[in-house]
Amino acid sequence: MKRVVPTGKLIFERTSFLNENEKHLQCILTHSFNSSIGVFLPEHDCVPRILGDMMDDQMSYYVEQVPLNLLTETDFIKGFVQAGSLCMISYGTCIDSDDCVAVTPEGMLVMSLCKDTYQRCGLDGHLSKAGKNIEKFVVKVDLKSDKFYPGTKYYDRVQWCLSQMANFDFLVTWIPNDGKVCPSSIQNFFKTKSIQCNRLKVNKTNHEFKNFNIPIIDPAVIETDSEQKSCNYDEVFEWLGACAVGIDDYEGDDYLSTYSCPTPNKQASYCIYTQYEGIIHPSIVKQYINYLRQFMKDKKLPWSSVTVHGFVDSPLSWIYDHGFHNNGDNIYTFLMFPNDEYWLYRAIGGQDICP
Amino acid sequence: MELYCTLPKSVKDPSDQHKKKKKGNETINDFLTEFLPNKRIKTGENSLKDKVLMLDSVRQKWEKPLKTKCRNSLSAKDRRRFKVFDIEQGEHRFNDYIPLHKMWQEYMMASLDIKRYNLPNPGPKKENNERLLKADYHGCMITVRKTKCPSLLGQSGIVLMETKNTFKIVTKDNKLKILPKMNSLFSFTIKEFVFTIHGSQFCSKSSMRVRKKFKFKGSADL
Repeated sequence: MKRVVPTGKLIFERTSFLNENEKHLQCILTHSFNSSIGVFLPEHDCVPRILGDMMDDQMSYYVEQVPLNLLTETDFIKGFVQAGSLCMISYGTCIDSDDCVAVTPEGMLVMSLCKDTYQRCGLDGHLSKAGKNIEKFVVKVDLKSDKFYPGTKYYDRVQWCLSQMANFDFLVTWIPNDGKVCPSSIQNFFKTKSIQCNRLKVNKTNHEFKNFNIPIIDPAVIETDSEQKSCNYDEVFEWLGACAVGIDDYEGDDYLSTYSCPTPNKQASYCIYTQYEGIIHPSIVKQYINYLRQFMKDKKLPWSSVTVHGFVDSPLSWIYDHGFHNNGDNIYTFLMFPNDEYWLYRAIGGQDICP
Repeated sequence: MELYCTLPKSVKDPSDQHKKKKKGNETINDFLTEFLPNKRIKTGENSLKDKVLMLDSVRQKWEKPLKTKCRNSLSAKDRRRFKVFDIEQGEHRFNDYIPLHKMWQEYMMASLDIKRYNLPNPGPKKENNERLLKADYHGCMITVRKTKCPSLLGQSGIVLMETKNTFKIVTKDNKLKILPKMNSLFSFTIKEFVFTIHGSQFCSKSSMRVRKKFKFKGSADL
C-alpha cells in the first residue's frame, strides 16, 4: 500500500485553565513567531477597546539588510537579547527554497539553510527533521550562552562565518524586561548602525455578522451522539474558519455550495470577527487571552475563540523544525468557555512533527 | 684419541657381509633389521611392503611470488622506513615558504599566460583548463571555500605536499594542516583572478595528473 502523506494534521485537546497539568502557557509562549491573531465573539457587536489598544501599542519593526554578525555583537546581545525578549524573523524568504533566519525569545539564533549555503557557511548543523527528503540544514547558535563572548574560539568562528553570509530583512519585536526602557530603543540601535528600520503597521480586518446562526457547543461533549445536543469539534473548527474568511451567507444556491452551519444551532443578533496582522510577541498573546477570558465571563458570552497564526515561512513551529511542502500552517485556536474550560486545536503541516 | 689410524679390517675385507651383492630390497631390509630398535621392528617397520616414499616431485612449501623490484621509486615499506615524505609538525614556518609561493605564482602566470586574460580576445579556454590540470600545486596559497565538513571551511595556507587524497598545507599560524580533497572546493588567486578546484574530481597524485587523461566523475556537486 502506498504511503500517503496527509496534507495537514489537527491536534485536539480538551481541558481546563484551572487544571494543574495544563499546558496552555507552554503552547502560547513556545510559539514564538505569530503573524496574526483573530478573535471571534458571538452575541457581541464589538471587540473591547483595550484589546485594540494592546495591538496598536505594540512596537514592531521592519528592518532591511541586516548583516548577521551584527546579531552576535556584544552590545546587541547585552542590550537586547539578554535585557528583554526579542523576536526576529527573516522576511521575504521562503522556508522550502531559501535561507531563513530567526531569533527566538530564548536567545537562540536559528538558521535554516540550503545545502549550498550550509556548505559555504562553516558552522555545525544538522539536517532538518521537517519531513523526509528535505535538503535543508538547521544551524543553531545560543546567544545567551555563558560561553559565547569575544575572545573564545567559538565566538570568533561564528563571527567570521556569519560575516561571509548575505544580509537579511527582518521583522522585529522586542519587549524589555525593565519597564522603564522604551521598546523603540531597538529602532535607535539600528539607526545608529545606519540600517533602515521602520515601524510596522498592524493590519486590522473586521467581519461583522448580523442575525447569524452560531452552533451550540457543550464543553463536555466533543462528538455528537444520536441526540445531537451539541456540535462536533471538527465541524466547529471548520465553521470558525469559514467565519474568519467572512462567509456569512449560507442560503445561497445549492449548486454552488451545500455548506451550512453545523447543527444544532441558534440565532445570534450580532457576532464579530477581528483579525490583527503583523508580528505579535507571545507574551502579548498571553495577555490578550487572559483579558478575553475575563471579558467573556463579564459579558456572559456562551463561548469565544482566539486563533493565532504562525508565519508560514518560519524555521520553527513550536520547538520543532518546520517546512512548507504544500501546507505551512502552524496555527492554534483556543475555544474558551465561561467555566474556564477550553478546547485547543493545533493545526500543523502534513510532514511537521506533532508538538 | 688417535687421529691417524688405519682403516678397519671390515672395510678392506671383501668377504664381509655388507659387501656381498644382494638384491635390491634385501640390503635395505637387512640394514633396517640391524639398526632399528626392537620396538619398531615389532610394529613392522623393517619390511618395505606397503611403503612408498616420493623422492622426487615432492610438493614444496608455497612461497610468495617475489615482486619485481621497482627500480624507479621506493616501495611503501621503504618510504615508511626512511620517512622520506613525512612532514614534521611544528618545524615549518609560514614565512619561510613565502618565497616559494612567489616562485610558484610566477610559474603559474607563465604557464597560464595570464597577460592575455586582460586582452579583448582571451583565446580558447580548453587550453587553459588542461594547463591547470597538469600544473604542479606545490607552493600554491589555497583556501577551502565550500565543504561537507564545516570545520574545514576557511582553512588556508601554502601547499607543502600533495598526495593522492590530501593537500598538506602550512597555515599563517605555522601549523601543519592536512586537508582531504574529497567533498571540498578549493580556491586560489593569481593577481586579480580567482581559480577554483573541485576537490572530489582532483583525487590523484600530481605525477599521475600529468600523464593520464582526466575523467569527470559524477556531478560537480559536492
